Order: sequence, then structure tokens, then C-alpha cells
Amino acid sequence: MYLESLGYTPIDVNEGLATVMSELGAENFTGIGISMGGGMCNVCLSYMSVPVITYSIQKGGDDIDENVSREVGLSATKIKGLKEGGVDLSTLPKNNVELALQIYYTDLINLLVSSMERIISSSNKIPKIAYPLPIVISGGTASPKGIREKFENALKSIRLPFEVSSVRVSKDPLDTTAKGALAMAISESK
Amino acid sequence: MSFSAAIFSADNVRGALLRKALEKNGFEVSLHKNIHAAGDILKANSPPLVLIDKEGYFPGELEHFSSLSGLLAGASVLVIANSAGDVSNALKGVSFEWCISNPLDLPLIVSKAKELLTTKQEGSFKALLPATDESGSSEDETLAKDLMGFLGMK
Repeated sequence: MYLESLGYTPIDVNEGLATVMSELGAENFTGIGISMGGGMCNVCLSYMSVPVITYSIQKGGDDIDENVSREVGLSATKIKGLKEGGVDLSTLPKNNVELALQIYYTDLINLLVSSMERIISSSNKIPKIAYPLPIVISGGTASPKGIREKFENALKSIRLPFEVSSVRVSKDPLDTTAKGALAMAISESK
Repeated sequence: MSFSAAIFSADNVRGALLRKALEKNGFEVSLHKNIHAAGDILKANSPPLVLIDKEGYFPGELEHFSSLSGLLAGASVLVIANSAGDVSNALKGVSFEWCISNPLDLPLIVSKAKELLTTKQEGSFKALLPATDESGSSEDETLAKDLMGFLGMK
């Protein structure tokens, strides 16, 4: 309403699609974009920038903080601080906090990946795709080192109706959604 | 070369996919949901390609196109359905080609659309040429060229 009163025409963009718009230009905006935020994770299967499947799971970084907090007896804010200080999911945990972080990160990734299998495999909207698709993940919760490898491992346990060519983390996870929304706005205004 | 195409699709995602695939291949596309507005759309734009996605429409709705067979006679009609038999009753009097509906095979649909338009164009050009016995004249020409070559003439 407010933006319209200023003369803009707002459009809503799923954060997963924004991730695709920001990171998959070379792939003709075709692939899966996942935005892993604090409150939820948004997933979009895009074909030539058309959001074929979009959905969210109501879990994200905040759940990791709360669960780890409960396990180790530190406040969620403290856990968040430690998490943002640089978690490395590719090395063996050195203490209880790191162990709990690894467990709950793995849980979230497994939940995401199994939701992809359930929702994408049961959809009849997906066009015939004859080539492997990339997956790109973004958002603050996608920042830890080693998350790409965790994701790749989790994908081995599921079946999708197409091959996955690569899993990558966006270049600048915190700004990806904003960049994608801008790309979408520019393409819509042409 | 760009062609214009009118797409009729009841499904937002499928319609957007069809539109994007055709646009990427140089078509100017208009996308419509309401079949009952088809008469006005065809009269106003006379698109050379009309693409009808059966999914999401009732057979009764598709029958509306039968009443537009005169308007559709000048266009190439491509129907997306699971089989031609699925729609042949509903589209009585309309000449159409079809592509499989599920899964939506966009590269195939685009190549079919291009092929339909090219065939139609070639047909139009041929209709403009004077009627000649092509095989006879080309044989004559070949014989003349062979003789000229044999005799060392240019």
C-alpha cells in the first residue's frame, strides 16, 4: 500500500527464487535456490526464472540456537554469537557447543533435503528436464564452513526427478536475497 | 524473425513456462486464461500460432474453440494434451497438432511451434509460385548442363 502510494508496483518474490535470480544467471535462472534464514528456509525450483515449486519449512537458524542452548545450558543469544563467530562443520567438534551445533545443523539440512524429495518428487508441475540442475544455498544460516559438503552428503540419501549438477553456497550469503530481489525488479520493469 | 503466439492456459505455472520458452525463442507471446475471450483475441491480433494447454480446462470449455474454427483456419494450432484423442471431440472442425502434456516438454513444444509456422510459410510461398512441372524442368536443366559440360561449353 505504502509503496504503491509512492508510485511503485510491488511484487512479491520468494527468497528461494531471489537466490536463483542472484546466483544462477549463467544457468538461465534454472535450478534450485534455498534461502536459509533465521526463522525459516525458503526453497524454489525455478525453470527459466519461472517459480515452478516454492515452499518453506518453518525451521532455521533460530531453532539451531534454541536447541543448542537447551543442550549445553547457555543462552540462545550466546550460542548465536558463537555461531556467527565462525562455525566449521567440516572438522571434528572440539567441545560440547560445537558438537551440538553440528548435530542441529545436520538435522536442519536433513529436514530440508527430505522435504525436497517429498515435495518435488510428488509434483506434476515440473517440466521435462534433460540436464542436471544446480542447487545454490544462501542466507545467514548457510554461512558456516563445510555446509556445502554436509548438503551434498544429505542429498545422497534422497531421489529427485532430475540429476543435481552441483551444490554451491552463494558468494555473499547475507546479501543474496536482496541482490536477487533487485535483479527481479529490474527484469520486471523492462 | 519473430512470430506472435497466443497461449491459452488455465494453469499459472504452465502458462508462465510456455510463455517464457516461446519468448526465449523469439516469439511475441500473449498469455490468456479465459477461453471465452478467445474470439475477441483472435479477431484483434490474428496470431499465426495459437497454443492451447488442455490442463485445467473442462472439455466443455475447449468446445468454445470449435465455434471459432473459421478464425482459427488461418493460424497454426498446437494443443498440449495427453493425446490427440483427448481433445479431438472438443475441437471439432479445428485443424491442430499436439504435444504431450505431462511432463511439459518445452524444447519439443518450441520446435513443433517453429516447424508448424515454417511449414505454413513455405505453403504460402509455394501457393504464390506459378504451377510448373518441377521434376521435368530440373531434369531438362540437368541434361542441358551435362551436354554443355560434355561439349566444353560454359
